[in-house]
Amino acid sequence: MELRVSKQAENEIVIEITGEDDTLGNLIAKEAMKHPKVVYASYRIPHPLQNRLEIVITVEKGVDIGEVLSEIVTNIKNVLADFRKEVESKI
Amino acid sequence: MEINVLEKNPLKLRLYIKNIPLHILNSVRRVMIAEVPTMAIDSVVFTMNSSVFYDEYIAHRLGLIPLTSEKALEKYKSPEECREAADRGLFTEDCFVKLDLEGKGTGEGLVTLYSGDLKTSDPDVRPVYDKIPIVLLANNQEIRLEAYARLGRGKEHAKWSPVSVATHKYVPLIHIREELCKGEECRKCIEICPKDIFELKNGKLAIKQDKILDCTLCRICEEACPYNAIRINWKENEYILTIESTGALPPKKILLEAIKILENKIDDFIESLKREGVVK
Repeated sequence: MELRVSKQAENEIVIEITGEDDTLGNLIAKEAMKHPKVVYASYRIPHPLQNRLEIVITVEKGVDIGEVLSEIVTNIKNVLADFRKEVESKI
Repeated sequence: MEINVLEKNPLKLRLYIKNIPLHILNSVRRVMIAEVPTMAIDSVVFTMNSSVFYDEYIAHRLGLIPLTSEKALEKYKSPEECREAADRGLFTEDCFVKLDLEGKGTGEGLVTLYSGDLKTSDPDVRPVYDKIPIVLLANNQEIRLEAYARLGRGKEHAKWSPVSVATHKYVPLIHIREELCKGEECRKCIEICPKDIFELKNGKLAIKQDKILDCTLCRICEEACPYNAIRINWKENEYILTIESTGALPPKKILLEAIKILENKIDDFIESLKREGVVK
């Protein structure tokens, strides 16, 4: 994935990804908002004709963003694994 | 999470899914439309075309014919690699399936070439339907062409999208206050419903239980009868997912592929963050 961290402060990160769209942006931003240590999370597509995506996540002071991000990803993967199991058994 | 199958046939799947976050279901839906690969004709070489259509017109029609792709997903290289090969003009066997089409108009009326007339080099990749008309040929008009199909994704061109319909909708929650809507004199909300989900039972307004999922939450009934007599709401975290396949892949396979692709995407995301040093 063509990913670049365009801004990283103590408790804020801006991630810029080329070649991804709302599928990933909305997924990460909405899941991040459910995380108790996240203060703010959103995504935007800066220009409709360019394949660029920007994700902004702000966490509470003193919290490691990397840890929060991997927890978010684990949560999504758990739901997807659950979904797959249901699909395989019920359909 | 709990899934109930509402409808299932070779082309259509309707699921009632409980306890799934909307953003995850929506991403799965979007992946089904834009990122699950299928086979479709992408390059066409004409050696003869004296029909009334331009080459481009016929090539476009060929592209839109759904091809069976279930086995092709494992057999052929990824869409990204094959796209590059096509750009360089390399029609290799590990990327492309060759489909030949030949036909000539005869003296007796018009000859129609159908999708079933395409001769494929791989029996696993063939038109889903044999009766899709491609072109009509009059006397002495002739077509000879080689078409090359490859894997691709819906985001590149809609011809590669495995689904014609992929939607999710809310599950309706309808509250009726009978004292405000007195049966016989209050038929307006029954008649106005475009999906016909209400009925009069023992002189009282009631919902046809087998039709409740048809409700589109349009709220016309709320307006038609006295204020607050009917309130339309929806259930949290319960959705109806509808998938209609083009025939290229079975609906279950589309769903499982979509989940797999999304999982890989998420893995890729976290791997890239590790490379940037954000995640340890």
